[in-house]
Amino acid sequence: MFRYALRRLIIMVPIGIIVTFIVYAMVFALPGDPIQALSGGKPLAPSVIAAKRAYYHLDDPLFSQYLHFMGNLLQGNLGQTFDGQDIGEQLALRWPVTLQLGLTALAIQTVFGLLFGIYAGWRRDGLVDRALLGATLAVLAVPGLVVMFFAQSVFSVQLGWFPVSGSADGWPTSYLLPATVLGVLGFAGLARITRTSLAEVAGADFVRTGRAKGLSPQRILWRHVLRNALLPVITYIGLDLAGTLGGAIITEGIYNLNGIGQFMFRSIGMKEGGVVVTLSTVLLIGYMVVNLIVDLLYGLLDPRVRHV
Amino acid sequence: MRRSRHAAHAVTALAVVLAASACSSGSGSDDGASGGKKSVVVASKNEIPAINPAKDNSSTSIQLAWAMWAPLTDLDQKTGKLKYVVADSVTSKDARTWTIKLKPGWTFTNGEKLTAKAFVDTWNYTAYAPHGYKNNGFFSRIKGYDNLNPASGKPKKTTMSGLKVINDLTFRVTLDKAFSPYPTTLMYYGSVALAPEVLKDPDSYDHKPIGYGPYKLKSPWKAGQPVVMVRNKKYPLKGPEADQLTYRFFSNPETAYNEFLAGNVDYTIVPDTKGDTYKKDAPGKGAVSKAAVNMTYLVPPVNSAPYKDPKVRRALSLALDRKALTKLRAGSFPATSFTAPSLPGYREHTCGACTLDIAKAKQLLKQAGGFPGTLKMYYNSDDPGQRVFAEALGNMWRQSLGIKVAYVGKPAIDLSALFSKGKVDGMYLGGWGHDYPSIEDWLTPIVGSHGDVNGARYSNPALDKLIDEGNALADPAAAIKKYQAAEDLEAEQMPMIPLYHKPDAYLHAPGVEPLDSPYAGLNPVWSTVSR
Repeated sequence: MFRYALRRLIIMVPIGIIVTFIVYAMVFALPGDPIQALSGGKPLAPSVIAAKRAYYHLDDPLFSQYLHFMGNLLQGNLGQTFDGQDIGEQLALRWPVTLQLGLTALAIQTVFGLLFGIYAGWRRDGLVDRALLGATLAVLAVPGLVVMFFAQSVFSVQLGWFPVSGSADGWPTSYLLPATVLGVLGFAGLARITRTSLAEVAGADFVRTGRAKGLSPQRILWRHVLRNALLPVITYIGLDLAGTLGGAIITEGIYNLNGIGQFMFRSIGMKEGGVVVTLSTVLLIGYMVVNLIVDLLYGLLDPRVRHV
Repeated sequence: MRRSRHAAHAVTALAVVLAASACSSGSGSDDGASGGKKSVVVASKNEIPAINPAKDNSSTSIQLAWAMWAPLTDLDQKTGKLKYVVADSVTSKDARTWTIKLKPGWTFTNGEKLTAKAFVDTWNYTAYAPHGYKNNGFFSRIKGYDNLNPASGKPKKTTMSGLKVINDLTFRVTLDKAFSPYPTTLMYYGSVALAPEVLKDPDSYDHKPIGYGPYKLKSPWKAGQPVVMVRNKKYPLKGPEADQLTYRFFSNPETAYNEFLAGNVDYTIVPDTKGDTYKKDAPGKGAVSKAAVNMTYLVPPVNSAPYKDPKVRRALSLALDRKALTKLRAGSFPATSFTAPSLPGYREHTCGACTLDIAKAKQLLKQAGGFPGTLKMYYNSDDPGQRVFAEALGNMWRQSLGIKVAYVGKPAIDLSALFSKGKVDGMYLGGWGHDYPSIEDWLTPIVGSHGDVNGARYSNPALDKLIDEGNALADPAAAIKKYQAAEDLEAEQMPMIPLYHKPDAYLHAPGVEPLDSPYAGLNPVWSTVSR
């Protein structure tokens, strides 16, 4: 298993290089001049534009820009955004925000998704099951943006239960509302997958054998059915964590949380290839590590899956 | 300012169990009133990289400078006349060489004296191209600016020959060409001085600026946090009323709006999307600024047929029902002249072709030989409202004049690139707000040859000459006469088609009244506080 993990880690290096280059090239290919866009309403003096272009190597060809950026990145030199913010400082400030939001949302989503999914799958076609199917359908159908604005206006502005925006109150107060909204929106998919997977395993031959042997239903559920049913669920959670981190742009915007999502959005708008690649690289590593953990968990849950 | 958080605390316990993996952080609330002191919380736009109006002259940065610096000159909010603040006098005989005397007694918050040398050093530092300071262009009128900003390569000089320190409190500014509105340009906060201590290594003071304004930072500002300011005891004039002033940054204006409704913010601009509903959402708390310092106008591609003919441009303007158009822009009113109302020298109805007259429009278009081909109407596709507005314009031309119209939507970043290269081959919507209160600032940048936002590359030597003549007259009243003549020429030629002015609508908490003057505009820093 150790060798398997090591092999997976080594493969990450070439993938990382390819992905960073592709992302850098894609940002490079976006139309528009970032330094012009900097000026906003007021035009910048041509000499200042020239000075800024030279400072950021914007007139170099794509490949040499990329090498220059990677060289700096490997030396731990993250540099400045086009408008002069320190990228390292911004990352240090923003990662905790996004992580707190993402993990809180994931925790809420996992707990509710598993609870409802397991119950509904075990007591299939019962009242809870039907209610769950209806509720998840509704949740999946409503656009997230609407729910977020609605929740902010009702629970924060009118009822005053939560802060409206910002992270000034720290965790958990500032993150509860956005994370709950994200968690509720995400729980539908998880609950459905858990339910289907559980229902499928519950009909398998070995479950019937267990029943015939006289095992208690509780023991069958927790020891035998669940262990087998959780494989696709864990894959889903792993993918979802990465999705939550990468897709926090809208939530962070509405709740004014200074996280990675907002930084990414702004940087793409400003054509800041370096920042986008730095953020993508971190997301990529996170994604790969989560995937690796998921793969290793397979082996623990199901002895038939072995990593040699 | 206090909000109930019972539910939040109740759910907290649950969340702790749920998310044992999430780490905790956060350092209490930074906003809010304390101990009977008067506190005002202002919502502003995107976070800025540095509190330094010379390095970053974005609107948010300038707003913070309102609090932490003071201008050389300013407009009297009641009369609209020029008055001196940091400057004691700004005088010239020929409108080209200006002597600026400072008042004694101004000091930076670090104790250093505010001297003529501090101004000269700051201006030179800003104008030196390799520093990449965004307010660089502000100094382009000063003699020797070109040496610091060569067309290519590194500049050989670091100081402008047009700046000279006479004594501790006096310096002389020599301009390239005579420019009579110069004293009014000095009310712009991009012209303030940085402390000598800061100029040694400005970047390390990005988050702890040293100014000489009515407020100073309570403690060094941390990125991602609100900017909290307290009164500066060294400020020599009567200061504003609030003891503590906080600026909170919002990347989404609707979030700021919601924070206001929840009572956590005392002042915010109404976002465009709420222009119709804010009076219902916050009854009695909304107001419209007395100042309309901006205008939205159409820019025809004046150098290509058929727009080359002023008759066509007049016809296109006459066919527009501006009353109907302003209904699409909540709070706006039709423009009837080429400059902003409330400016010295502003006259109503200088634009003869800015009122709906379809018969005359048809007649003019017939005289010009009709409109062959399709009219391209460009709009900014980032802004959903602009497509609707562009279609409204197009429909008017189509229905009244029978012109075929095609709509071209592009993101703002692409449009601005096309404008700056002068490559727009259709009509586009331009917007301008003056930097200093002179009608000259509505002529030179928009329709003067090589004007900063003259994207259509309009060039008319007669117009340029009138502006230059006005610039050379040191007497403001005489200069205005010349600028007005230039405006009259513009009205004949119609190189830009005025549409509407839209004063900002804002929300303010009961007992907090921002300064709102038709001349000086909106300023939350100088709010009156009675609560």
